[in-house]
Amino acid sequence: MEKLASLWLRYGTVRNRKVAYIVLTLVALAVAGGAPGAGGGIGIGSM
Amino acid sequence: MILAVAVVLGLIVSLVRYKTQAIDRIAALPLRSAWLALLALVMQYPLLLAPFSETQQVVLHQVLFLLSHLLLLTFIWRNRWMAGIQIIGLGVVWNLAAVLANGGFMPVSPEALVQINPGSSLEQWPVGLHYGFSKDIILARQETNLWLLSDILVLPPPFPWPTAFSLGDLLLAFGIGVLLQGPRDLVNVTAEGLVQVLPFDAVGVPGFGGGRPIRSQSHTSS
Repeated sequence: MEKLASLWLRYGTVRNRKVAYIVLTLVALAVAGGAPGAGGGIGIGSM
Repeated sequence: MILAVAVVLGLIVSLVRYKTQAIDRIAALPLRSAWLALLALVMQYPLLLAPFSETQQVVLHQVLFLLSHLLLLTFIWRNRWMAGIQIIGLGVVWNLAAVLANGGFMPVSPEALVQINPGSSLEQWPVGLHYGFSKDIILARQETNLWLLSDILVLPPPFPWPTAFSLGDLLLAFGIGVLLQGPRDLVNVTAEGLVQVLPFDAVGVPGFGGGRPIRSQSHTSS
């Protein structure tokens, strides 16, 4: 727990939190705006 | 998944180009109403979790998916002056056009699905069904409206995440890559109505250090 707190103090700066929020937003934008179909389905057998 | 990979690639390019300044540049992106994009994704989540099924079984999911575009388009409009957002906006509009022209789902052909699901056959992908864990509907090419904007591009194995995607997706990925390079200039409007356009390299990110002293002059807005 103490190690976690020290990591937060070291890396949880305002700038880093802002970057994390921006990257998270861009991931959300990419997933919500895009419409790709990924492989891995098994088709009619999965119904 | 493929579009999340685009975000990672954009980050890598930014880090290679700008090294330690890359994080400052991303932090300087003045995205407005970012919560709209996050909420849009939440609204699409039920459809993205829906397995292979008849389209009638995912009507509510589909309505939420379509409504989420109002949030996405609002987000894009509020940030429209950024070049990356303009490219992303075009991609979203292309995808939305294909979706609206095909009953509210993005069309994908059985042939494309066979390519990204090796070992499967055309019979396993009957047209008219919702393709599981996606926004796609299986449609034959001749039944697809705006075919060019549908999921016609294929990344087959050995690519680790075989995917069928659209030209709109490609634009989206490119736009996100552009955004992740950070803003070209920092624009600041003062209380007196002065518009300051400060080249990014001259100032870094205000309050975060790492920049060089300001050398540019402010300009009076017209």
